[in-house]
Amino acid sequence: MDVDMSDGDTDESIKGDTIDRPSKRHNTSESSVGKKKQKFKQPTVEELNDLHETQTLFNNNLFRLQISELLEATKIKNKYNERLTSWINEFQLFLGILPVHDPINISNFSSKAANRPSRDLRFIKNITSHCKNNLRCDQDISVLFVRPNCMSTFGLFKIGSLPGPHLKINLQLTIPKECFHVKDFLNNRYLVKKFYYLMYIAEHLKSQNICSSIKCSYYQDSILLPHLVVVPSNAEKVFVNIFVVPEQNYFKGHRFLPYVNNVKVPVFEQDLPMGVENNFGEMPTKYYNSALGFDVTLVENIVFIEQTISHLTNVQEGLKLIIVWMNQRKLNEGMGTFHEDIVIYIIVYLVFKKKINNHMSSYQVFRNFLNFMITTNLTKDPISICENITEEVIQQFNSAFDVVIIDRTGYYNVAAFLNASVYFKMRYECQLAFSILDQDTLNSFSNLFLVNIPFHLQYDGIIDIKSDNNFETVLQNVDTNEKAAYLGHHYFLIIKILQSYLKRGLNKRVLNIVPLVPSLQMWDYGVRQKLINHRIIFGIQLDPDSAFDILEYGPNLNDPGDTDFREFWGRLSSNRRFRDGTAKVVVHFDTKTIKEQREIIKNIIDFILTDKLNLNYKFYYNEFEDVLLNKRINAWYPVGTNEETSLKIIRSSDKLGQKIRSLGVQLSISGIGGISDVYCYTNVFPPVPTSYRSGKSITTTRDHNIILKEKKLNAAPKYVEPIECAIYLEHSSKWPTDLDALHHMKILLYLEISKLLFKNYKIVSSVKPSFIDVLYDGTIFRYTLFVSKEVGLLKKSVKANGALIYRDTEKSLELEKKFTILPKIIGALKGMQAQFPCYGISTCLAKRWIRSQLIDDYLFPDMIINLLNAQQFISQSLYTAATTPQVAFLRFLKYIIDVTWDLEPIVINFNNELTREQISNVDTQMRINRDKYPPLFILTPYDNGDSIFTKKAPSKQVLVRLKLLAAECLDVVANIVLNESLYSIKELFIPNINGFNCVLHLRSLINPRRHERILNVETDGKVPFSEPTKEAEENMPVIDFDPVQMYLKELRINYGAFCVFFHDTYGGNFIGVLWNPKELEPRNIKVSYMLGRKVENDKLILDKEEIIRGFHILGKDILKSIDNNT
Amino acid sequence: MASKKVLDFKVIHFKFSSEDDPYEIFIKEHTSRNYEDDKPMGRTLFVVNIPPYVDEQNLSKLFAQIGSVVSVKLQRGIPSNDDKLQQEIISNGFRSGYVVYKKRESLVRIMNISTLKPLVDLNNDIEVGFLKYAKQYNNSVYNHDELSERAKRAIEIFDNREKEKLNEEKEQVDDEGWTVVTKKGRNPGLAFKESVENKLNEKQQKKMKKKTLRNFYPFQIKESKREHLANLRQQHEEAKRKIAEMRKNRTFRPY
Repeated sequence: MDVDMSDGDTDESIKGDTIDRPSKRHNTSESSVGKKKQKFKQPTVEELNDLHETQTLFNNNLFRLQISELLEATKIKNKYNERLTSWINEFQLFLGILPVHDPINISNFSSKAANRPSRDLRFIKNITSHCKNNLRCDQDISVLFVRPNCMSTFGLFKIGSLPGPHLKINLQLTIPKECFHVKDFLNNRYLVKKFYYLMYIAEHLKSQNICSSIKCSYYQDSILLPHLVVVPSNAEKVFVNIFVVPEQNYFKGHRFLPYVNNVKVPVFEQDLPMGVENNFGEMPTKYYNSALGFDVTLVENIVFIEQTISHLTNVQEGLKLIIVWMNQRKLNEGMGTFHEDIVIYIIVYLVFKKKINNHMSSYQVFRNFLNFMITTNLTKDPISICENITEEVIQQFNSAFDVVIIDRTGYYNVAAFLNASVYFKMRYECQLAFSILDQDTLNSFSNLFLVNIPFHLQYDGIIDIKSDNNFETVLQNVDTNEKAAYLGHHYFLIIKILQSYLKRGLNKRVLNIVPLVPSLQMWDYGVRQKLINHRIIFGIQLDPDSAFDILEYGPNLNDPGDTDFREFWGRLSSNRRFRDGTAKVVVHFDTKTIKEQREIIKNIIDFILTDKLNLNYKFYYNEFEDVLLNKRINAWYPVGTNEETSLKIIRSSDKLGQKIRSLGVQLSISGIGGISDVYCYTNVFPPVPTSYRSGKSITTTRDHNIILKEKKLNAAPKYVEPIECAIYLEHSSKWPTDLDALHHMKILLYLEISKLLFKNYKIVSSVKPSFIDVLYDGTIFRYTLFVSKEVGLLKKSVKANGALIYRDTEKSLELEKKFTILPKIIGALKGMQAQFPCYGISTCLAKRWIRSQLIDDYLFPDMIINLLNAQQFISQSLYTAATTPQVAFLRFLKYIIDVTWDLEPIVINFNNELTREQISNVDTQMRINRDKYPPLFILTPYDNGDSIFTKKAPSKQVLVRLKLLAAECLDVVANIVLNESLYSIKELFIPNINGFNCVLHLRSLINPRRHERILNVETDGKVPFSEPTKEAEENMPVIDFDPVQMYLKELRINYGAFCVFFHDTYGGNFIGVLWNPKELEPRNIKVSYMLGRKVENDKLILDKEEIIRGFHILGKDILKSIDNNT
Repeated sequence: MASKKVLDFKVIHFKFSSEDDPYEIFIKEHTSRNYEDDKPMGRTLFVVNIPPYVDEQNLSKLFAQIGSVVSVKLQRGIPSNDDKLQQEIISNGFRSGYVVYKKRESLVRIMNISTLKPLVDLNNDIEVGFLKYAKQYNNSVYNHDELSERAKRAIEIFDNREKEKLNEEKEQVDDEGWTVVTKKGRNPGLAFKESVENKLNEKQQKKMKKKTLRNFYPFQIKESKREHLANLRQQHEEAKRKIAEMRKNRTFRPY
């Protein structure tokens, strides 16, 4: 005990030495733990094992608990299990009494049905009328309807790996061999029989009361693999997929190998709009074979899978984790997808190869799966779980299919329908997941398993080829061999061809073009099925290094392939000679701005899909960027989004900085740093460099400043935003030790700089007591001298015992924040912009969006938006960094929705400077003492863990509201992309005037940023910005004069306690007011409550009328009108 | 109306311009236990609930309609000893203030009046709104020469003060032979700063630490093992707590 105590003591004193505050908070908890330590309980063996296991088998404690929590949450409830068993019993009874019908020839289906209705015939009539299927075969075969042989369940549910609560159970019925002929695998005969058999089950099931709905669907979207989807009447939300398959070993397996031909005559005319020749001869029909192969091998495979996995609980759980993870990323949806069954086979393969076993934890199974996916390339190295398969057969499979995973029998490729790009996408996701596991950050678990990522957030662009297209042009040049291979699956072929066109056009610009074709819709049994065309969607993943190159290089002139290139690119191609003497055929894209450069991708896709293939499509790529264009500005240089202007300003700033350094001011300058948003490209509308002249009506000049006329002033000049910079001076002990004197000393320095600038360079400037404004190259730069001594002076105070102490004060913090922390962060963000060129623009989108929700800098500071958006690029925990601003913005919205700011600090770990210990320390402290931290806590390496930017704002309410708005916004976007809604994106950025207690309408003329509003009709007059000239740089313009902001500030100072004000910073023409509900409550009469209230019924109530009158009076000449909705 | 009272305050009506509805201001005679020069007893009026657009000048004009006013003092919020309350009303632009009349009669008279004349009638160029901002801007543009003059003067004053101080600080030996040790001079003393104190403490501790042995005796080894276990346990507990919170937030729903 004694030792314990002393230990605790030293511990505490060591901790006490560090000065930063979080550790002090840490201190208090440490000592409380210390108290607990005194009652040390001897650990039980169980506990020891548990702890040991966590260390060796799992990532960490939290991860382990999270996994078990997740598995618990996705466990299938007993209730459902019971209901299902009882339903399956019922279903079995139903099969036992299933009526048997006489054999009937297909040709007789329609003719006989017309007259004498017998029981059999009524049935036939029903099924034929319900399902005009396009399946045909070459003969008039006779169909026999007898009871199925046996029944079994299979799939994820069976092997205990299905994550609840949405249940999907697969059921397999075996068709007795009497129904078939040995040669039925030919020419679709088997499939026709199978289809009618399925209908037979459905028809009779319908007359029973055990299902609430019966639908038909297709396995892996192959129309050759129909199955029933029924919902048991005793358990909604449960789907039972009923497959029918032939008896095992009835058909010879080798008929389904990829090089075999099984269709001799055209039976697929209707769904093959490709002018099928009369005879396919011996051309291999690999997809047709695969479809049959699935049916034929199903029973053997499911038995094997069960044998392998059913007793391995940890493996089952690992599999469940994989499925949950895939579900969250939508990796197993649509045509040609990475189907769950493929995952099962891979796991079986891994067990089979003894790469995973039951001694591993579910976490390790998951990890091993990822590792396997990353380290093997199944397109090159096929795998097989069949024991006696020859290398030759494997190679045959390999040459026939993109990805090969051979099943237990050796006749069926499980991944036959898997598109290679989808496979690579899956691998890419695996890689990402692996790195998330290794990152081991606070929320790696939720990033993997709990965050749902819709596909339009996963890609840089989405191409949506509409369903009303005719793909004849696409299929024009396909040879018969290819057609034969894709018999029955022509959509797979179309997708492949489109992919190759796009790949050729986009070439190195893309990493992957992934088809995301929505699954065929299920159709109700009993309703006539329409063959709906597919929408074909592609997600493209750009290569950030070369996506926006302005040249597409072709071969050298007169090289082979040069005509080919020219033919492909048509009018876009041209010949070019290069510096090194070579001449090449190239495609050159003429771009003036960076925005246009980003549009190259769009142009290429349009060229391919419209010009070459004549398809109706939509490309979701950069529609949002439109809101960042200031269309009413008429600048003297090409302006797109903010990059051009930002770059100009930064260049001028560098030049001016050099000039200032060269002035030879008394104290030498050690550094100049930018602290405006412009420096990290996140200013939505950076000030366009221009010349400033004094207008006649509203301005006049004094000294060399343009100032406002005070008489009859009724409009504000256009807004001139100063670009803020800090000048750091060399250390000197000569600075006065008195704050006031120091300020005046600084003023003298400003004046000296001003004088020298004019003397040496004829640059005008204007000195204000706390800074100097310099006009250079048409831009105003605002320099502030930073003297570190000033911070010290502000902090200085005297302790009770007479010792000098330095303690943070509000002023010193403000100073430090602006001049020591901010430059570091701006610098880091600038670096980020260099690394991820879409960081700036996406942040601008985020800003513009948040501001248009009327949440302005006061409620949600700009810097926080900068930081929050930086998060996705730094952590890259859900996706790799975005390449286009739009998707980065959508991900930002997604982040706002998902982030649990109430539970955890937001970690923005620039350059990984924060250690894991530091982060988890803050995390723990925050959990213990949540109230002591601001609602949003951002941890960066630069502010000593103080989250200085979030201290005052945002409030909890704003955060909650923003979350709701972001969810709404993403919903709209999802609707546009997924459901083809025609909602205009622009409207997401138009402020909503409804719902306020009070709306203050502003006079347009006094709003100097009015041209930034989005609703502007384009016919409005343009605001000209002419090139700055030397003559025009004689006078300083009216700088930073925004009456709207001044008014807002005054309102907030005076009435901020009673109401909240909302305004769109970018030219908003009204201010929304909400009363603070707490203030509306009547109060008891007390002197301290008397302000702003009036007496009514012996209570003090808020004097709204007076406050509104105050709005009026303070807003003289600023307000147009006030709507009072209360 | 004239007798309407709230607590010990009298309600008086005030209008900005004649079209406006009357608005209630609360007044009472200022009483205080300690005597203050700027708030003489008997002539000082305590005014509460002054709207934000009324500044000292206007307030003085407003109350001057009764009798001549000597001084006016405005402040945000209401003077109170309670810090928390003070915080709460920081963003409240309504103010309270003291109006000092020249004669007590004026104060007595105002206690019998129920309505003040509209402010606009008394002062027709009240600066509010756009024009005020424009003027504010123009005033913020400085003439460089003036600015320079002012700064120089301020520094001069400071320099002189410094010099005096320096003279005082020179090592002095007083009558009884004691020398005041300052930071300057031949044998400068240590600066009396917190950081210096801390450094000294640190040194002391380091010395202490060197003397003790760690992981030497069996009980120490046992102890460290136990600590490790406790550490693991604690991590486990923390993780559990976090999970509980996440569960409360219904985060574990991957669907």
